[in-house]
Amino acid sequence: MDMALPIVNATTAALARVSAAFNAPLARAVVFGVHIDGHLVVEGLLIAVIVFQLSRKSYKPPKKPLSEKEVDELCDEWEPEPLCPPIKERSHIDPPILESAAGPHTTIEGKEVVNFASANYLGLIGNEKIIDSSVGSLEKYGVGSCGPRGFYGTIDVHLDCEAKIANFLGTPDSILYSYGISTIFSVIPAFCKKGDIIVADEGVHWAVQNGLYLSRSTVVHFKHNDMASLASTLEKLTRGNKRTEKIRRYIVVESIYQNSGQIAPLDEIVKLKEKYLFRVILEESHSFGVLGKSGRGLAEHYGVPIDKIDIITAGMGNALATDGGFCTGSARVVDHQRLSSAGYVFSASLPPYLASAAVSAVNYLEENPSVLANLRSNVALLHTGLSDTPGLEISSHALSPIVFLKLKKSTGSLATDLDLVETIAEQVLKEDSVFIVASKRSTLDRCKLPVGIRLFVSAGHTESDISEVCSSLKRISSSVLSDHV
Amino acid sequence: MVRLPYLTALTTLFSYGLLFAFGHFRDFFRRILDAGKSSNLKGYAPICLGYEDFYTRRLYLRIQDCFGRPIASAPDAWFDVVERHSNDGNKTLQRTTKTSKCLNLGSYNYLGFAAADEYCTPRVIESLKKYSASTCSARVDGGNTKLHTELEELVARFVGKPAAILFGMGYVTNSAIIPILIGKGGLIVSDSLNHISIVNGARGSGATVRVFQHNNPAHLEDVLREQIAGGQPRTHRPWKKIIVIVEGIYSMEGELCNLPEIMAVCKKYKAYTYLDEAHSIGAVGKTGRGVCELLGVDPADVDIMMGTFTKSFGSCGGYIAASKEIIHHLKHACPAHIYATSMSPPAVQQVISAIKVVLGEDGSNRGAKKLAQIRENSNFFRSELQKMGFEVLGDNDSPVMPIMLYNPAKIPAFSRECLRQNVAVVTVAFPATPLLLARARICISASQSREDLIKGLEVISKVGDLIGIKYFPVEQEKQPQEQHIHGAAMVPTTRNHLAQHHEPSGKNSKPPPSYYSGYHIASQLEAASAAAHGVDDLKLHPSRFPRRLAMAGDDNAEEEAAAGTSSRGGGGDYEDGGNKDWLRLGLGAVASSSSTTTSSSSAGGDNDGARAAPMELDLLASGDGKESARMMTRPPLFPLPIRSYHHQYGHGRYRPTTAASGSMTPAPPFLQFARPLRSCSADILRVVSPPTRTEAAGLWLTLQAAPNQVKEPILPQIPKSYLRIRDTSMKVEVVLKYLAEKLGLSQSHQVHLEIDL
Repeated sequence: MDMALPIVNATTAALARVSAAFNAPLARAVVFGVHIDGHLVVEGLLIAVIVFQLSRKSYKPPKKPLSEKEVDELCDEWEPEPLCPPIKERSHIDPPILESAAGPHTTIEGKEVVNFASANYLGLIGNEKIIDSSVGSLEKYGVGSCGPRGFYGTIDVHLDCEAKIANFLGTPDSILYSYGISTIFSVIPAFCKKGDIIVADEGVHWAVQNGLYLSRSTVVHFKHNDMASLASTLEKLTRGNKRTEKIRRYIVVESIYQNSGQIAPLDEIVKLKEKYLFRVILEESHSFGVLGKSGRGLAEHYGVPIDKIDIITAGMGNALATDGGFCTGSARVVDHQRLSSAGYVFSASLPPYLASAAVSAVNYLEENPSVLANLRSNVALLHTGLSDTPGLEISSHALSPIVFLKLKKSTGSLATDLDLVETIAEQVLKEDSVFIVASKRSTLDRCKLPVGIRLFVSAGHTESDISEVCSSLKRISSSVLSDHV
Repeated sequence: MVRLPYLTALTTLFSYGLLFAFGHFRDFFRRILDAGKSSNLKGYAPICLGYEDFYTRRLYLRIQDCFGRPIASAPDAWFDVVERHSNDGNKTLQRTTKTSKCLNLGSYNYLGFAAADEYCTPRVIESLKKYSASTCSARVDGGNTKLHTELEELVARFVGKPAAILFGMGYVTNSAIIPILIGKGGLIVSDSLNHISIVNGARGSGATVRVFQHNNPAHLEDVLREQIAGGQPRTHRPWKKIIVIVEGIYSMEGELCNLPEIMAVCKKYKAYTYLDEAHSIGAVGKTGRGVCELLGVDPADVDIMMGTFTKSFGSCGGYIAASKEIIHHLKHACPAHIYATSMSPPAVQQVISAIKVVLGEDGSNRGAKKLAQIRENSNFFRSELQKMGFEVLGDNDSPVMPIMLYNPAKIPAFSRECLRQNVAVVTVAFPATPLLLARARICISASQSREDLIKGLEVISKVGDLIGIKYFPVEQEKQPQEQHIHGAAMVPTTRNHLAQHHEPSGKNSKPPPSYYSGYHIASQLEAASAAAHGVDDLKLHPSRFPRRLAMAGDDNAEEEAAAGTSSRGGGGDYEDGGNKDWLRLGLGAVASSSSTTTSSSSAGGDNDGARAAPMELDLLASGDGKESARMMTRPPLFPLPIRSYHHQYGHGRYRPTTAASGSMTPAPPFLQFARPLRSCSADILRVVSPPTRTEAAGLWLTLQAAPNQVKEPILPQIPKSYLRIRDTSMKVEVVLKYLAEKLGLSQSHQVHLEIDL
C-alpha cells in the first residue's frame, strides 16, 4: 500500500496537470447553461480509444498450417501396422473336413464318426422328402436368386415359405432373410435407433451383440439369464424417468443361449415386460422347431400367447436343416423391415431351394411331432450319461438340445480353458471317432461366459451313439483334466 | 458423375414437394380422424415414429407394385413375373395365379448361370443329395466339407491371390470382415457410394471413417494426406493403419472403379486396399477375373479382394481373397466364420462348377463365349441406349447401366409401362440413390440373345418417348460415305455427354433411328478402312465381334474405334502386343498443355508430376498432305457456362480448361507432355479406344496410363484424356509416329496402338 502511494500521487498529479491544461481554454465554456470542464475532453478521448479498440479484430494466434513439404514428410514417416497380427504358434488346428453330409453319422478322413457338432436337432439332414423338394426347386429356379428381394429376387417359394412359417407359429406374417446370423443383426438396428433403450442379456451371442452395437441405442446388460437382475435393471431404467413413454424400449433375449445352453424363462420375462412396458425381441435360432409340444418354440413351451412377444427372429440353419433366417411378429413389424432392414433390402435373397427345404421341413415337423419326443429322450439320456464326467459339468438346461459342458474348475483364463476343452474334443475325435467341438470365441465376441464343450443332440442319434460319446468324454476328460480335477 | 440440369432439378423438387405436402396433409387428417380411437399401445412408444416411416407410407406405398415383384421361374433371360393386384389403393398387394413372361433386365445374372445349366445343375443336384442342403454347423465346427475347401482353393486361384475364405452371404462378408481387419485407432477411407454392407462393416469396426468423393483419386489423395498429417482426431496420434475401400463396379452407377489411379495413391501413402468385386467378379475382364484384369491391375497389389457368388455365378455367399496370413487370421478370428452356419454345400458346388466353366475347365469354351457375350451385349445395349438419347450412366464393359429418370412420377411410369410390354426393369429411388437422382437400372446378362436385347430396346425406346426421359438428342445415323468428313461437328463422348447436360429434349418428336442395326458402326468402319487402305479382308463379323483389327506397328493397320471401351486393359500382357483378342493403342502420356498453364505443375518435377486435366488431342490432316498434329482443348457443346467434366477430378483445384464461350477455342500450340516418357521405366502407355460415337467426329481415343506406369507412383497419372483423330483414313504409322514423338520415344514401335471393337 505504501509502495503504491507515490505512484498514485504521481498519477493524480499528472492527471491534474493534463486536465488543467485542457481546462484552461474551456474553463469558462458554457453550453446550454452548463459549465463544461475539461474532463469531458478526457472522457471523449477515452471513448475514442475504446471505440478504436473494439473496432479492432480480436487477437488470434497466427495459424501455421502444415506446408506441403511438411505433409510430405509426415506421409513418408508414417508406417502402418500390418493388416493382421503375426500367426500364433498354437493356432494351427484346422477343422476336420467332412466327406459326407453332416448327419448324425458322418465321414471324416474316410472314417465314419458320430457327429455331435451339427445342430441338426430334428435329424433332417439327409431327409428324402426335403431333398426331393430341394431338387425340384433347383431344377425349376436354379441355385441363386440373382437379386435382392426388391428387384426380382422375390420368388414365389419365398412368399410360400414366409406364409408357412407365419402359419406354423400363428403370427400374421413373417419375413425371410438370406442368412441366419444376418437376421438378428439386421432386425435390431431396423427397430432400435439412437436414443432407444435396449436391455439385453450379457450372454447373447455375437450376432446379437453386433446388432446391438449397430443400432447405436443405449444398451444395458443384465446378468446372464437372471430375472432378478433383469427386474432391477428395468426398474432402474424406468423409475423416475418421465421420458420413457416417448422412447422405445426393448428387451433382447435368446430363447436357448448359444453360449451356455440356458433357456430364457419367458413367462417371467413377459410379466416384467408388461409391467415395465418394454417390447421383447426374442432370438429363437436354437429353439424354433425344438421347444414346445409341437416345436413352435419358446412361447409354446411356456404357454405364452405368441402375440405377447413383439419380435421373434430365428436362423433356419439348425432344426430346419436349411439356411437363412426369418423374423416374425405383427404385420407392422414385418412390413417395417421390408424397407428398413439392411440385411433384407441390400442383400440377395435366399436361394429358392433353401426356402423350399424350409417349407418341407416345417411340413415334416407338423406331420411327425414324434421326432420331438426322440430328441427329448436323447437329450435326457445324454444328461444322465454325462452327469458324472470328471472335471466337467453340464451347465445347460435339461431341455436344451445344446448340451454344454464347462470346466468344473476354470484355470482363470479363457484362452487356457479353451485350449483344454479343444484338446479334449480333438482327442475324442481322434481316438473314439466321436465328433464333438469346443465353443470357440471370436476376438470380437464380448461374451464373458465360460467356454466349454458343446454337444448338439439330434433326434437322429441312437442310444449307442449317446453312450459312445458319454464313455469317450469321460475317459478322455479324466486323462486330459487329471491335473485340473 | 451426374450433373442435374436446372430445369429437371426444379421439376423434380416440385414433384417431391407436392408429394410431401399431400403426405403431410393426409397425415394431418389421419391424426384428427384417429384422435377418438383408443390406441392399443398404451405406454409404448410407437414402433416407428411418424417421421421415420413417412416416406414409406406416403411415397413408397403408392408405387410399391414396382418393387419386389415376385417371379415364378428362374431369373433367366425371360422369366415369369407373378401378377399382383391391390384392393386398397396399393397398401397391400395380393398375388394372383397369373404370370406373364417378361424379358429380364433386372437380375444380376451376368453370366447366365441363374437358370439350369448343362454342366452345373447335375453336379449341384448330386452335391445336394450327398451333402443335404445344410451342414447345420459353423465352418470351424462341423460345417467344413470337402466342397468348401475345394472352392476356397479354386477362388484363390481364380482371382489370383494365395488364399481365400468363404462366407454364406455377401452382405455378411463385408460387414463381418472389416471389424476384424481394423479397429479403434484405424482409419477407413471409403468411397462415397460404397454399398451399405461396407458402411455397416466400417461402422461396426469402431475405426474412424472418412469418405472420399466417388471414384476420385485426387480427392482420395487429399483425404489421405490430411489424415496422415493430422493423425487421429483429438489425440493426434498416428493412425494404426488405413484401409481404402472401393468397389469394382458401383451397382447403382454402373461405373467401373478408377482402380489404377486409386491403387497408385494408396501405394504412395501406404494405405491398404480393400476391393469389393460384388458386381464385377466374373462379369468383366477377359477371363472374367473382374476389374483387376479389366483395368490391368495386378491382384497382388490389392490387399483384400472381396466378391460375391450371388451375381455372376448364380449362387449365394461371398469370399475374401488375400494373403495366407490374413486368411489365417480371419479363420481364427472372424465371427461369421466361427458362428455362422457354413455356406450351403449345393450352393458351393454351383460356384465351383460355374468357375470351372468360366475357366474352361469343363472341357468346353462355353465360359469364354459367355464372357464375350456379356461384354458384347452390354456394349451393344449401352451404345444403343445412348444413341436413342437416354441419359445412361456408367462405363463401357459394365453390365450395369442406369438410365436417369429424375422425376418421381417417372419411376412408376417407366416400370409399369415396361412391364405392361413384358420387359421387367428395376427402378431405383431414394434411399438407394439421392432423392433427386431416381433411375432405372438395366442389368445385362450373357443369356440374352440379340433379339431379346432388341426387343428390350424397342420397348424402352417407346416408353422413353412416352414419358420423356430421352434427355439427350437422338443421334442421327450416319451414312457410310460420311466417314471422311473433315472437321465434322463434335459429338460428345460418353463422359462429356454426361458432363455437358443440357435441356431435356424428351419431347423430341423425331422418331428414333433404326437403332437395332447394331453393327452399323462396325460396318461403316469396315467400309471406310477398306476403302482407305485397299485392304479387302478387313471384315468385322458379328459373331467375332471383339476382334483384332490391327496390330501395333502394322503398316496397314487401322485405328478405328467403334463401340469400344473407355477403359480396359488386358491383364499383364500389354507390352508384347501378342494379345490377339484386342486391338490396342498403347501409348501413353500425360497431357498437360503448356498453354493452359493453370493445370497443375507442368514443370514435371520428380514428384507426383502433373495430374493433367483431360484434354483432347486433335490430329488433323493439313492441306498440303503432310500430317501435323494439334492439340486443342475441348470447346463446350453449348454456350452455357458449365464446368467441364474434368472438374470431377480436379474438384476445383485446377481451373477448367474449357472456355465458357460458345465459340471454338483457337487451337493452342503443340501438345507438350509434362514428363518425357523415356524417363519412365515403362515405355508403353495405352490409348484405349473411344467412348463410342466415332463416326461423326473421327476417331476418339481415350488416353490412359498403362498398368506398369500406374505402379510407378512418381509417374504422372493421367485420368483420362481424349485423342481425336479427325481423319479416319490417316495411317496408323502417322499416329504412331506422332505419339512417339510427343511421348519422347525414340522409335514409333514403342507405342502400341490398340483398338477395341
